Amino acid sequence: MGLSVTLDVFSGRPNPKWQLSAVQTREFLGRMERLDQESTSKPPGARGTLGYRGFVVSGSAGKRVGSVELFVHGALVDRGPRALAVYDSKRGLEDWLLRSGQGEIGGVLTKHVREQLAKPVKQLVGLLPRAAGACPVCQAKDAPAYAPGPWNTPANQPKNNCYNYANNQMTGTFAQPGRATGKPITGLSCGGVQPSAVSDGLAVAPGFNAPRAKGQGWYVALVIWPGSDYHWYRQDSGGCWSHKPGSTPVRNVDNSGKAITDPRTCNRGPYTVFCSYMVTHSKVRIR
Amino acid sequence: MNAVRITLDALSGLENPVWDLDGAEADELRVRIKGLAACAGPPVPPPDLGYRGFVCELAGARVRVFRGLVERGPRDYAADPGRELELWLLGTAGARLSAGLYAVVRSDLAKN
Repeated sequence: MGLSVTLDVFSGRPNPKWQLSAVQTREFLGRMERLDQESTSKPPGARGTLGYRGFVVSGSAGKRVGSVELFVHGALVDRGPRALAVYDSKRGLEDWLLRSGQGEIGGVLTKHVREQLAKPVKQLVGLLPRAAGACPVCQAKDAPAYAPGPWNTPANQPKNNCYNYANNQMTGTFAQPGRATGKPITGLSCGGVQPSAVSDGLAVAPGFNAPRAKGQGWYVALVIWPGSDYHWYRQDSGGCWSHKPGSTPVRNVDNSGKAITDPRTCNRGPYTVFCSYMVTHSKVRIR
Repeated sequence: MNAVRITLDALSGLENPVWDLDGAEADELRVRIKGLAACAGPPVPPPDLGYRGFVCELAGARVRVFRGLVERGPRDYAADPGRELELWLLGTAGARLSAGLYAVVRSDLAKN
């Protein structure tokens, strides 16, 4: 496990580059996981300017996270072409990265970067709202918390889909309803998918307002893109819903960028058919 | 020359459609990507659900093509005027796409 940091700042000379120790790498990853506000914007340094343009952090971040290439600038962390950026409102990560390079960076350069970090960041567009405020009360004691960090790592994100996420199980198999229990889906319709999920152990529910005690699972919802695909949502302990569209990152907003208070009524793009709410639990088998 | 793998990024529960380009098609894709003029990013973020673009895997590099912009690397963007590269990539899919999926992508490509 080892990450290298490049300070992207020079034009003629090679940029300063240094290695994080194992302890520093763990601290960096911990700081990354605590950033929970996502953004559809890219760091402004992507445009390329003269002077401080950000930090590139790359290398192996261990078995759980896998290899990473992150671009940190302007209070945003770009996690790659298929991932949302995350917002670091106080630019603490940039400040920490600058401090990690002391010894590699001279005083003049440190002063230049510090001055840039002290400047206010221009208004960010594309900041996604945290799901809060209008969320319904979650009635299921087993409902998982919204914690996208481990799902959105290079090692886990591509191999787990909406069905994995709704059931809160990272199998790394792009799980399919019914595959674990010998009842594969028979068509891309409610009647073609729902019986396979029932075979895995899920149960149809009329809504998501009935209290469910500890051990009785949490609410999920099945929707269909007729003839093309299916998709799942799950209700988190905070009351709002979240989802993982295929191999893309976990998120808690709909296609309009709004918090999801009810998957029946949110913007679902081409997944126009709402099948039903269902209940899943930790003993459901998926593969 | 090595084959180029194309992924149509659009699905959630099912695996995305994937196909390989060989020979002349792979060569043409490389020429098309190389010939695009660089432009300032960043790209339009794709929606959560539905068509999210094409991903081309060429010799270790991943190139994303979506809404008239080609992301060749973390900070390397190029313009795809008229979304011609996307249209061409859709044409290489042949019969691998369902009629519903093809229609949704085609409808998105009609937005210029």
